[in-house]
Amino acid sequence: MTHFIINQIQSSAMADAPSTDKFQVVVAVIALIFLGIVAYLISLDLKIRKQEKK
Amino acid sequence: MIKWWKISGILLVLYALVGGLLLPVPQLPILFQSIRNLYYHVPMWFGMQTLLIASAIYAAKGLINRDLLHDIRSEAYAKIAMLFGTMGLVTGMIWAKNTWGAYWTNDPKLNSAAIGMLMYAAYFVLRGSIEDEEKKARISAVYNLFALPVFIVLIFVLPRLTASLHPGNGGNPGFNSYDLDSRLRMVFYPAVLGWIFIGFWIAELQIRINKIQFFRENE
Repeated sequence: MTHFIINQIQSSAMADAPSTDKFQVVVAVIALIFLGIVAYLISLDLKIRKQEKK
Repeated sequence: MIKWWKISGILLVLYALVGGLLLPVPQLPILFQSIRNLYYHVPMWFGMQTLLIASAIYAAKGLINRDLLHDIRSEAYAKIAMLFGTMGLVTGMIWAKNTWGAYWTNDPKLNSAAIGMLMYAAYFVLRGSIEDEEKKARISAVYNLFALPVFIVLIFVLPRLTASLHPGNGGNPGFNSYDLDSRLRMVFYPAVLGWIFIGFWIAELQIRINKIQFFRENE
């Protein structure tokens, strides 16, 4: 019985798991935010390099 | 030219961010899908710890060589370590709310982490209170070298000696015993490595900015 209840809870918790369209959008947005941070770091790296050459 | 470890950091973290949300995870009671936070919360502490070790190494080098550039490096690593520590606390608080029911519990690991962070906050206050650059470098280096072992004891030793909600502490099983099919490891290890690289990259930028300022002020 306990196993049954745990399985039920787990399957309901899995209902909103990673296969839905909304979830894909969340993943894409998070990846985009990270890539934005990376772009900022790269631009900062290049700016500092210019200053170092001066 | 962007160095290989920076590119590796970008790719590893990107993989961990996407894979951490999409790849399958073990279904465990209480944790359920929140176990995915293992890929975001724990790497922050690994990143912080590595940066703090780097900070202490440069503090020791600064004391031996009396070189102010080592002090600049030591300070920058400690600063970025605190950034990672803050992110670790925030991700941990969100996880705690969803699994333990509160953002902050009276858990020895949480309290130890808070004390440890405050210790390093005091390091920056100490630095800010000394005008003379050489004196500041020496005193803060000594403080840094004492702070690191205390921090390690607070985070890794003390919580293991008492009852704790954290896995692997206070008699609780660690994640190793859950992770029988290594699904967690496939994302967890790249995430740890990736965030360490990103942490060192941010610290390197901070060091270079501080060096430029240092040379301009001493021209």
